Amino acid sequence: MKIAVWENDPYIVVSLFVVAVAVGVALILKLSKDKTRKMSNLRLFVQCAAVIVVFMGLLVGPFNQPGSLFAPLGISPRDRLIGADILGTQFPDGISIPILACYYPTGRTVTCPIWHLQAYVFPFWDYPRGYQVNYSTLGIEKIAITLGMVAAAAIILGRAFCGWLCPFGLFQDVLTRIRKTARLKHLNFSDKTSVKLGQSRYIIIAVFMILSVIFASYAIFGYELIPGTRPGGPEGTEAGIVSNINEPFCLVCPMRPLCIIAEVGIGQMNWSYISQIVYGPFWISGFYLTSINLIILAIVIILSLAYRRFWCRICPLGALTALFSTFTPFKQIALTKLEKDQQKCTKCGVCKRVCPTQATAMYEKKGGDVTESRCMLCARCVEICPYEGALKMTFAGKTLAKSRNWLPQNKTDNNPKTA
Amino acid sequence: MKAEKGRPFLVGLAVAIIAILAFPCGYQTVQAQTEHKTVFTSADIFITPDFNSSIRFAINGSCSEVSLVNGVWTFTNLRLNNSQASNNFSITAKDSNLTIYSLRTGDFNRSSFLRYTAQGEGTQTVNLYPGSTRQTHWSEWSVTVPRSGTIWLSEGENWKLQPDNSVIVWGLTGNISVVRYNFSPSYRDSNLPLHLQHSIAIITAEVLATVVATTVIIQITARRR
Repeated sequence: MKIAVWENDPYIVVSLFVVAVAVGVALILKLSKDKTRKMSNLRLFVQCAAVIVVFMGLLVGPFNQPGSLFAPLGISPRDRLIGADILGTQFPDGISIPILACYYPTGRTVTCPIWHLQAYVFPFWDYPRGYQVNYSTLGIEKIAITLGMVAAAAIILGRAFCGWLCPFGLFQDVLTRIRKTARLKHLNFSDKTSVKLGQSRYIIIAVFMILSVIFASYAIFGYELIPGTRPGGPEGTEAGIVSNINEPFCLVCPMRPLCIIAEVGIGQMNWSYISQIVYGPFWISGFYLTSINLIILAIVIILSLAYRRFWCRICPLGALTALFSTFTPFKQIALTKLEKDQQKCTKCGVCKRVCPTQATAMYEKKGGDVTESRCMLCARCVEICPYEGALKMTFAGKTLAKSRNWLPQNKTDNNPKTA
Repeated sequence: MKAEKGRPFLVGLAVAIIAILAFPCGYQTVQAQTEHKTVFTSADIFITPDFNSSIRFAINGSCSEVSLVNGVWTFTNLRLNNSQASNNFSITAKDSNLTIYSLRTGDFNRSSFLRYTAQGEGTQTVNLYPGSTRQTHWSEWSVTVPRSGTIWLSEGENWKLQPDNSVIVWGLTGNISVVRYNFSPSYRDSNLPLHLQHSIAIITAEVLATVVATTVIIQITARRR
């Protein structure tokens, strides 16, 4: 009985969570003796904590009662959005945080900006819909709000969102740990391919935004640019109002099936209900899952086992975050940076080798700010660099972490620049 | 002593409150009794012999007026025992027998719907807003049928919206839902001042501007150092 009381009290749950995170961080910083793993351990802990924050609704409720609107979905609340009271009808789908916080699973507290951008293309989102979600602002205004939130977040933390907070990043890191446990070596793309993949992210986001407009054409313009894109979903859902292939990126995003499968696995979502919400061919028209989703998730899992953080190399959300943090004029004002001291660098190349996304700026650039669009500020290069202060991660000019001399003394003496 | 003095006042207040609460109940009962009502049960059938069709309600109910003109059944102040409020609607059925399960009609500010079962692939013409001058748009309407999941039919595919807001449904059997979603702009905060209508956009812009200004100051300070 007592459990039921505190489970439903968000203040107690959040307070306990904050205390647990603070204690966890302190313990990791205190107990991690291996200087080359300290940052990675801390990052893993923060990533796990971020997943709990993103899906805090699964813990705090209010849990669905039989007969409630979302009861068929499962016991957990459809969402438990942070700041929902403030956002009101002007922006009722939750704060945009540049991480893959999928819209579809239950208990979510924040929302993926890519979903926001695609969904608000539809003019229907300006109006109250089947399940009492009211929108009092125009789609274009909501798109501007989304971009504003992403820009502010990206200026402050940059792609640290990808490296430290994204749940799908954690999933890929777990896959990497599984590969390492199996003592398999990772593969690397050639530098040229790696650069091309990084550039392809911007093409991907552009393509999917254009597709959003094309698939919404019947709703926006009154005629179908592509036949078969009229409303196709069940009544009472947004899919019933808009095209049956609305939010096209979500149809291919691997995060959606991962979240759904995970929540079904832990008993938070009802599989029989999810699998029946299909209104057309399953490969494209499942409201919660599509065959494309599942196939892409399988491919991404395989490739992520082979290549570290494979998805992050082509993730359009990472591209959006990078756009607001590593390109002019945002680069000049970005607060979180990776910096290099050329005087202390020996060009040993260990930073380049350990980088999960094969970023090269910290190796190739002469010094100063070496943050690039592929860098997700995971600080793996910082912790592995054996030369004191050669690399450092800074926030607002203050050093958050810097490379430490972890080699035996006789080896560091070989550094010709510091000797 | 004070308590004794106050007791008649409290009793009087309680009586007054009970009377105030009880009055509307009695008034409604009296009013309802004076209304002319046509009561029907699920066994009653509204037949249109010329169109080879019939209509019945699965739930018992009542209405103040029911008429059949040129094959159109019009129900005024219809209330099914499982419905919330009275409804006005008209329905024509050709070559089909209909059983109506639930409905909500008449109020443009709320979603309206009619759920029924059709036997025979005939034609049904449903008007949930009889006599209204306000025209609705096709995109506000949906017709759905449950076949291995809910099938959402596009306009022109077994249904069509007419200029008088009536929906013609043809070629369907089994359970059918005709729904109009409320897309009226009444939910927009148009009565609020402009800055309150767009407060989230303004706040976001302010936050972004503050972040940019702060970071610029930090960068300038760092460079001077």
